[in-house]
Amino acid sequence: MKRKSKTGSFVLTKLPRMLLIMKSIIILLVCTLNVQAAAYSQQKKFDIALDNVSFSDVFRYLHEVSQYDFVYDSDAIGQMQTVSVNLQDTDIHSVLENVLAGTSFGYTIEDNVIIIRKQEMPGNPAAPQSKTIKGVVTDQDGNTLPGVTILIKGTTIGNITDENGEFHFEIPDLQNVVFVFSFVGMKSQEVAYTGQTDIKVVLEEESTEMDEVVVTGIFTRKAESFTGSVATYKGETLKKIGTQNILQSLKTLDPSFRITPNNQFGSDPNKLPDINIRGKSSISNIESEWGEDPNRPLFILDGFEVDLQTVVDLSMDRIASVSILKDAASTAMYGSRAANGVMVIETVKPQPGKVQVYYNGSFNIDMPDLSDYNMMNAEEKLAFEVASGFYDETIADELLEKKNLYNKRLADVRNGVDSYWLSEGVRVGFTHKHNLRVTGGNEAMYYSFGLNYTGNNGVMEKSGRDVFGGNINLVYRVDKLQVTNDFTYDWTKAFNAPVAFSEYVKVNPYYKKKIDPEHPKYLEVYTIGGMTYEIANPLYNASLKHKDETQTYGFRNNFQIEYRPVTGLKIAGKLNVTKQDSKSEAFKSPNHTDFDDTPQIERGSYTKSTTSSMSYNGDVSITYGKNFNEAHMLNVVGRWEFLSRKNYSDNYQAIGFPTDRLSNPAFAISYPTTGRPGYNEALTRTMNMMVTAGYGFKERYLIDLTIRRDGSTNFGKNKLWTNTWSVGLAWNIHNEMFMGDWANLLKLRFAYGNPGNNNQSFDTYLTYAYNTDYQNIFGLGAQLSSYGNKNLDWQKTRDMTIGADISVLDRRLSLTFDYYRKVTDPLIISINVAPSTGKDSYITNVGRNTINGFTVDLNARILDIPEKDMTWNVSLNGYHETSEYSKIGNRLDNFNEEMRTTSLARYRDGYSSTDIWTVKSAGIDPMTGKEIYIRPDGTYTFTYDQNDEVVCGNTAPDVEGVIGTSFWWKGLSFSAYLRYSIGGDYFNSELFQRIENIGSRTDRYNQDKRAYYDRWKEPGDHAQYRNIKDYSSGHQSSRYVQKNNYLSGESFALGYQFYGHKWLEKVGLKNLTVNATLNEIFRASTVKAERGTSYPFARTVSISINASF
Amino acid sequence: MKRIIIILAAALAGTFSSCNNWLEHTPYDQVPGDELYATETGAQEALNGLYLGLLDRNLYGGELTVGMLEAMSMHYFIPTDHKYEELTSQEFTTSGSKSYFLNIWKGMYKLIAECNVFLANIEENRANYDADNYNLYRGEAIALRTFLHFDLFRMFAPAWSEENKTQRAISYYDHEVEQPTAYMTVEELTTQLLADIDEAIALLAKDPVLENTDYVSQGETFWDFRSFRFNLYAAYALKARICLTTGDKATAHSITTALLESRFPNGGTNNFMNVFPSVLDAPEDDPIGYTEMLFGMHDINRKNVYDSYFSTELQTTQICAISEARNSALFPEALDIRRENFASAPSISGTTPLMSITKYREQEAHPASDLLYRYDIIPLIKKGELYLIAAESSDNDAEKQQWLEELRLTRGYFENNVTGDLNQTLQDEYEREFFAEGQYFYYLKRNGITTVANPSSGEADATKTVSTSYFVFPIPEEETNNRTDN
Repeated sequence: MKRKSKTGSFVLTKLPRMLLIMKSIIILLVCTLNVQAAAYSQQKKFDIALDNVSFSDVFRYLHEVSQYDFVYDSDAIGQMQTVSVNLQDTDIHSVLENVLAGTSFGYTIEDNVIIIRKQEMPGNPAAPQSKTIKGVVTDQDGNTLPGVTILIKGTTIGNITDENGEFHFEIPDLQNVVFVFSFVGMKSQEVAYTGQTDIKVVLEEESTEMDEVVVTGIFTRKAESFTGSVATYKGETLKKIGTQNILQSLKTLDPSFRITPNNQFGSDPNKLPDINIRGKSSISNIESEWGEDPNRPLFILDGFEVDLQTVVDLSMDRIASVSILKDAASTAMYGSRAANGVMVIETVKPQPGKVQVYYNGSFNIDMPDLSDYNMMNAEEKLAFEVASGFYDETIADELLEKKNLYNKRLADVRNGVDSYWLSEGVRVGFTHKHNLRVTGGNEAMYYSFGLNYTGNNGVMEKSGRDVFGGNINLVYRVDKLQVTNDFTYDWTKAFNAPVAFSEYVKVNPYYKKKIDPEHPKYLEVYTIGGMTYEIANPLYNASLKHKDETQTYGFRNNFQIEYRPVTGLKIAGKLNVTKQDSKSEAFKSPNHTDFDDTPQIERGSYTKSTTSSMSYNGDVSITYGKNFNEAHMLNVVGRWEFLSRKNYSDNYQAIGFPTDRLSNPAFAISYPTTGRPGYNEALTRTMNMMVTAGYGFKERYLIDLTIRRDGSTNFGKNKLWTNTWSVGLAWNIHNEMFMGDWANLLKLRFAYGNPGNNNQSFDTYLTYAYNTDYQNIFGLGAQLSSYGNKNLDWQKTRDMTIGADISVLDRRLSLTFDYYRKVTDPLIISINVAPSTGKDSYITNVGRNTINGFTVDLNARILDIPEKDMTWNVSLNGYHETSEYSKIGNRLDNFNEEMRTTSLARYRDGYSSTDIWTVKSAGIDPMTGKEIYIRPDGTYTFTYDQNDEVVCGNTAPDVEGVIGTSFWWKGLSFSAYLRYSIGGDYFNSELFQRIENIGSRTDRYNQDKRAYYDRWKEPGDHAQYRNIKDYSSGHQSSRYVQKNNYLSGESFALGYQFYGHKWLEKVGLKNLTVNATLNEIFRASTVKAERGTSYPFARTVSISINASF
Repeated sequence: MKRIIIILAAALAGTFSSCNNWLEHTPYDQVPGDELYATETGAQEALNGLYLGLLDRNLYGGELTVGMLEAMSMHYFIPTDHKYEELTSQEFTTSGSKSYFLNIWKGMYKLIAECNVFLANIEENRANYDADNYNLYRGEAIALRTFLHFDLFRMFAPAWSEENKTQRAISYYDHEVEQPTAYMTVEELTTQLLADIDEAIALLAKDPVLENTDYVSQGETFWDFRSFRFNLYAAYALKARICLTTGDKATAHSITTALLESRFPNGGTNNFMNVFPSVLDAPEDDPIGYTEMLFGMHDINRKNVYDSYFSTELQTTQICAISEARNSALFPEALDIRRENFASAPSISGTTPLMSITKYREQEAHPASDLLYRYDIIPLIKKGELYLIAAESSDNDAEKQQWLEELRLTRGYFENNVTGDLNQTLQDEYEREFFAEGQYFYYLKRNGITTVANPSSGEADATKTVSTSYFVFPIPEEETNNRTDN
């Protein structure tokens, strides 16, 4: 196989082997690296007899017999005539002199490399006067890079760096020498020689070649020889998108990785994001019952499963790479847990060498995004109250009371009271993150220590999240053995705002916020018809003593031992111990208006809960990889794993506080009347055995097979074990002879398998609990607590992917395309049953969900001018996805009916999980101001009947993705990513609540302007919304289904990397990079809906600094 | 290295063999069924769990004994906004009323399902138990299941009559299911229940109660205190109850008269009258008639029943009390010891003078050790009912009168105490005997009585008329929505 090096026309024979060595260094497949400057005997004698062969064949032959590597300009050599040579018992010098005689070429021998080059002075074979230069090559993090190719530009003279990243070689004493440094995965760099004897070069990573290596968390393989669909992102790349957390950045980069926005909790740092990879295959009605999101992917951090919160809190500066495993071939190693995709996170590993210190800091400013709010001002609100008929009254006494109330309010409005309540409770949040890492040590024993801190202040006052972490990583190597131990300690403290944002939003603007000097408890107190109304002041409630916080402490320790008895064979054992404790406390002041109707001695509450978990997870694996005859590549991994996790939790509540100065539970008067302490304990155990084998023929035809057997406590007693398997096939067309050189990568992939979903734990056992509420003379009685479904089967997904990876025009244009089909059958569903069976519902296997979709990821390097150190990339990604239920029959009909009050989703055969079911609306009747509904048969009616519901939209967009661009020029970088979404529908429930569903007490809360301006007022009005005096609760109709097309500014970044600057060294810095990013900075949408109702969304500006010393 | 591999392989092999054990874990806060039923003690705990299940406030620890059924029997003074106002005015479609019906339906069927799980599991683990004990466990659970089905039938199905035989009754379950079984007709169900109670009677043939010579309130083992569990006599009494309700008066009569004469219905003498001696003392010692209780519940927290239904500290919309006028109309005979279960309660606000019901009031001290538990009981089947069934099922007026007189003799009356209309006397005795015990409702339903007292009017003999559908509770929507055979 030949490969062109990036500088164009130079060819290194045996390059594949060298590349292989380099890879091995990166991925630590080979335990120790010895690039030996072997004592090649220049005196070795041999025979040679070649007739009429090309020069390159001569060199190839010589390479075989002498073990020398040859470096030459293939274009120049290729233009030469053939040559014949016939010599006996001769050494290498004689052969070369003989062969090159009469040509314009000469040779030099550097260690085991023979460099053939054009002679500057014909007829003079002796090398010109030469000079020794040396230097070191590192990456941006300061890690030394072994195996970097260094060539003098325009010649074939060159060398590679040794295991310490250092190089030294003799060069002809020439003017205007330019060195070209190149390395796989790095941008080539040219350095002009100006007489310096010590050259320091920092190579920059090249993101387009990032996925050269596939990290699955179980094994690491060369991307080209793997059949699965995997995307790998470097920590650096993720940080350029944003500094919030890795998930927010991943969603921008990968179209398969999606986060469903949480319209209630917006940017709340203490709420977990709703994530899925390639769609939601599970029915989420079990979600609420079991607490765990059934569609959440599996997270593997340094080889072990972790929960979502750990990933969210993980410092981005600790991340080396994140891989997303998407299809059956890549996730099959995780068997029963893999159906939702797998995210494999590798943290930065320690490096041997001199002690190095790194510091990363980022500083974010979060601004609440209230642009979607459209609330009335004081004047409008009062006018709306009049228009809606609130002050009309038939009872004379009440009319008088209402008129007085109106006059008082009107007086306030006339006096200029117009409070803007949206500015209350929110703030500009400031977040700062710091990460310090020290690494060093010798080859046998090296280490790194890290500390990180995040102080996150959310956009709601008094809300935030502090994260502190420390980690110690040690590597010990001796001969064929490597022992590593990673210890991580985490502490987090989450605190929540006392009053939800929605409380401020709904306050009437004609109330004064403050009556000096303090916030009154009630903004207004009035009596109508003997009923007294007290309007609570959220600012008063917010000013009370309050506590709502959770502290979590935990550690993870990963111990790993690897033994490599012979090349290619690795036996490894790993053990992880994770312990986590968390404590939540909430205190609500007795003065809070929520307690207005509570007896004095029960006012105020204190709740405390603690949870604790302990898990052991370990595995033993044997990995074997070998290349036979340069044609047959074999990789086999066998693995056995176990996991045991125990969770405990308990909680209690105390009520009745004499004053809010004493928030300590010791001052509580009692427990709640019917309250009692809660206690819960759960144990999960799983075990699995897995064998995966990959075979590749000449890197052209590839096959991966995986089979895994899983046991888990989560499923039925009769279904403890299950098998999962996968087949992956790939064809590297670019390696075929007939393809020539035009494609750098052209790979077709196919993967099929049946990964499972093991996210929940179900009650599969018949269990009893002792009834402590009642006792009799016979003592305690055991009462049935769970029937258990002994036959509950594993939920599995038949997952098929057909994909292509294409890269052409010297990798300037690359495309990844995946079509996927996920059939989940049977689903696990909680079904409501007739209570006469003795049960309310039971969990069973029923129905099928089919997801079809495709993702496209296109990258183009539009500009690439190495001499100016300038590149410009444009990228486009997107996905389209549909889903369909089948085989449900009528088993969920009742459940569908029950869901009518709470949800617009229905479980019906032939329909999608994202369909919006509701009654069609023909709009508002101009004569009556009533809504006209359309029956399925097309007739019109004023009567809302839920049985008339049809599909009125689909929340899934036709296409959604990200358009991005990045520009680099001499250390200056700029990037922008815009999210687009076209064709999805959205049920605007915020509109529904704030415009029409207001009730008769229209004066109670402030409303959307449209409630005043756009509602029907008199016959003839062609209004969008119902009669302004219609207080009846509205019905969810298709009128609120809106097209949800939007464009949002997900990420803008500007950065500068200081390298080659003299002042850096003076201040002791090796490297310094400064980045500024803007996240979610704008949003243009066809839907006007309030976003972030309890907690607003935020626009984020951040500045980050990366420095190494 | 070879050695390492061998050790590793051995370790792996050892682990694999114990994989299944490792995956079958025992939760700390719950007991796995397998473990529970593996021992005799465990089975007994599970059986006792069924009895404790009866104590649910929605079932016999509340609504079905002292609460809703009594209110619907027109025993309590129900002012406006009282929690039972809607039920007693037959407003069955309000959300409040619906939730009463739903809770009863759910609770009863859950207990039935638990009985079935119990029966299936003891059968599976039969080898672990003493053979005689097994028969008793099984007999008690079947009797209990019959008792529950029968009360559901009495509440949610139309009253038994020849015409109603083919009417829809309720679902019947004798094993655990995932989907509901079809509704049985009135005839199918009652036939099935009679077969079940006969099976229970056969299984209880060696009931330890037969060896008692005195009260059942002695001893400390699981087989003592038989009146707190479904014993053989209670099963006979239940059979009599079913037979009376379903038109088989002859059988009802033969069972009750046999027992009251210390015989078995199929021959041979027994110790019935010794085990259940009649109460003759003043009720402050024994307000419920502990010794006459054939089957009842023991609840160490029975105080809660009084506190949540009868306590004079309750709000007027919560308290179950009786007007003085209605009380004196109900108990005209001053000698009647059952009169003493009421105390005038001037503290209850309102214009109508009310009396509080003291039957379940907590007592200061337990006066005699052998009656230690008399203040912790809630009766379900009492000896008094046998006299009443014997009278009701008799077609001979003289005999009717005789049984009524015998009952009254144990209630403080003198001889020749029955005069006037026998049927009226019978009805009055049902009302007095089971005041705040939940049985009078079924008497009204069984006899098709639709002119009932109007206890909230404040007048002694005010009446009102209800429709027959008042006695047929609607099957909850949660049930009908989730089944197809409605």
